[in-house]
Amino acid sequence: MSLRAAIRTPAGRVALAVAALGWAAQPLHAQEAPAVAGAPASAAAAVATLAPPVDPAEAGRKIYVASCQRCHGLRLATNGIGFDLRTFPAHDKARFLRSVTNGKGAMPAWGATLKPAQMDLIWAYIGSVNGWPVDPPVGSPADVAVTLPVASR
Amino acid sequence: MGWSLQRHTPLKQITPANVKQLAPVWALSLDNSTNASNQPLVIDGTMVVATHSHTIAIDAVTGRQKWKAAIELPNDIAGYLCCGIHTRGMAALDGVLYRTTIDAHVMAISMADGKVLWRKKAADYKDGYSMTHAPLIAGGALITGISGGEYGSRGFLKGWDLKTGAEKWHRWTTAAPGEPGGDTWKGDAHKTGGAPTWLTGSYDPELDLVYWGVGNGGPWNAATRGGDALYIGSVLALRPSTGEVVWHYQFSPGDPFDYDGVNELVLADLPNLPGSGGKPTKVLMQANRNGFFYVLDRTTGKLISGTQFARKVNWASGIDTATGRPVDTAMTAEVKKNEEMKDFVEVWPSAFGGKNWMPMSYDPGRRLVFMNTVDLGMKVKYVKQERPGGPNWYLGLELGGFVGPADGNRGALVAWDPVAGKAVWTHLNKSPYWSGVLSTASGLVFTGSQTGQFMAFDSKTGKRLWSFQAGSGISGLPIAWEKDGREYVTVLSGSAHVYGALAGDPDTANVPAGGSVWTFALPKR
Repeated sequence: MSLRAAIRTPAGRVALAVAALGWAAQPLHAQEAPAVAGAPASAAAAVATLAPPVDPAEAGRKIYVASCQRCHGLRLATNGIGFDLRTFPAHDKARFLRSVTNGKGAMPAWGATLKPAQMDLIWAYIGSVNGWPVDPPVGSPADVAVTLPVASR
Repeated sequence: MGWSLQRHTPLKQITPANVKQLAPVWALSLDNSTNASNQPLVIDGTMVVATHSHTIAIDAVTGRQKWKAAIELPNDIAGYLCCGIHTRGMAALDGVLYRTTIDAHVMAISMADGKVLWRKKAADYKDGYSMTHAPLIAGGALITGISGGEYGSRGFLKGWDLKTGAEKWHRWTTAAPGEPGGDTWKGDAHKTGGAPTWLTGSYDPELDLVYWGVGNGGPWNAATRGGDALYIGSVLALRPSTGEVVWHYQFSPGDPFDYDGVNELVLADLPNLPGSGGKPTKVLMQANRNGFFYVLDRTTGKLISGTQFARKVNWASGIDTATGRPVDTAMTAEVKKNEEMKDFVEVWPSAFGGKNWMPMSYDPGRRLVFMNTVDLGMKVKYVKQERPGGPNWYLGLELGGFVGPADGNRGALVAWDPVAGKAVWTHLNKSPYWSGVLSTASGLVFTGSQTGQFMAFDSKTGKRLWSFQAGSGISGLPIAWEKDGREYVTVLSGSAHVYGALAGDPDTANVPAGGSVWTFALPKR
């Protein structure tokens, strides 16, 4: 079973304004987006159309907080367990995707849990904290309907 | 260390006068960079140590590995561990080792060769469950708990048959509607209500009661759960043969701050408690994550005292001895009422607690507790969250960061008088010690720092008498043992835990991971 969730950021406009400054001031306090349980993809897309443009870094931050932060630290600052993502090479996204998908050392394999689109969002968040050049913004509203996993019961 | 979890040795060869000569006699690599939090066991000259991936037998005197048995684990399991990859200990009886695995299985292993005698699944890890603690053997049963309070799982305890691994009993640790305490939850919240039982309990064979702590509610957001949410943040007194709950006491009713009640429950007989007429009282003691030191009558579960030990507490103004309940501050009352809050609040102590899981010792001769405490606050903001499932956290809040105290001392080794309810001495440290404590009848206190120093302190004064720099931070639980008239002290080095990952402590930035076992003794004459 999966949950279709339209990821919106009420603070989206603010975040995009910050983007122009190189993502220097990622807000810590951005509101959690409501999850739309069971909404069909078209409805999710419709919601997204009405919503402000999506900030991939903020969408990625939400996934990072739930899945990565406990080992990789608050805003990537860690002294234990996880790789220090502040030192990750900006040019090597392929290595990032490989490690996330298959796991590496203490890192579990997330390939069965995170969709490629979600890994892209986490990559965008890491880039925003590290001050990497910003990727082109996410294009069509359909791209922002992200599938979040739900435990099978 | 015994059923009472006192972590105190009667051995007296190593003393405050000669501890300066203490030196390593051997070290063994664990070939493992996860958290080395294990407590070794020494049985008939063989030391056994567990990591998350292996069980290892060592010749205790020479330090040579005798056998090493691997455990098969799924490749996504580490995502289900909230706070580091590790295995904290094992139990042993009649040539058989009992341990848990991080993918929520319980195993019996032959001590002779590491062969698996039986292996049973306690829960499906895909539902957010894991196991990192040592089982407890009590009343003829093997008892295990469960981890998973950050994943919206439902906590439980299980009793197993020692010989066959057959399940003898199962006890959920959240109360369902219709059961006593069932009305302390909103709707179906108890089904994902946390209450994990992730540390090992203690046992009083005379009363035939097992004491087992229960952890945080799931999610941490109290308003999502509603009410006191029994039995989160509690101690349960259970009959080991049946799992029947004889009494319970809830330290942190309706807790929103991750104040687990799992910290070790140390049993002692304390004289001169108020109202005892000078006679010793059978008590249990816990330095709770919530910053208060509890003394309970372990026969009845009645609160004797609840005294603040953490340097700063702002969630409660005290513990009401008459009702047994904390007196919430306005901040806590507000947090418990509101599922969503606009602003961050700064809470002391933080989710790391006034003391985390690293077990304290109790010296029955000096009647003192020695414990590693933590002094941090946290910034949190409560948000409504659906349970994401899988290896994803379900907290119902945003973690904004941790706040250190003004003097920069984020922890302390404290000698605590549990009768008077006050500190006798305090040894402040910049980074809290994330290691267990061992005290000796000769008047020493052993523990280790996150920066890798294994140390001995004077029980009387708190003065540091000896220190040895090991290869990584000390996360282990020191033990003392004796063989052929020589006293040894053993501890594991190797830190990779949640404090390092989340606390943002600059003083632990240059500590490498990498597990090893270190054994020390005085020079042979």
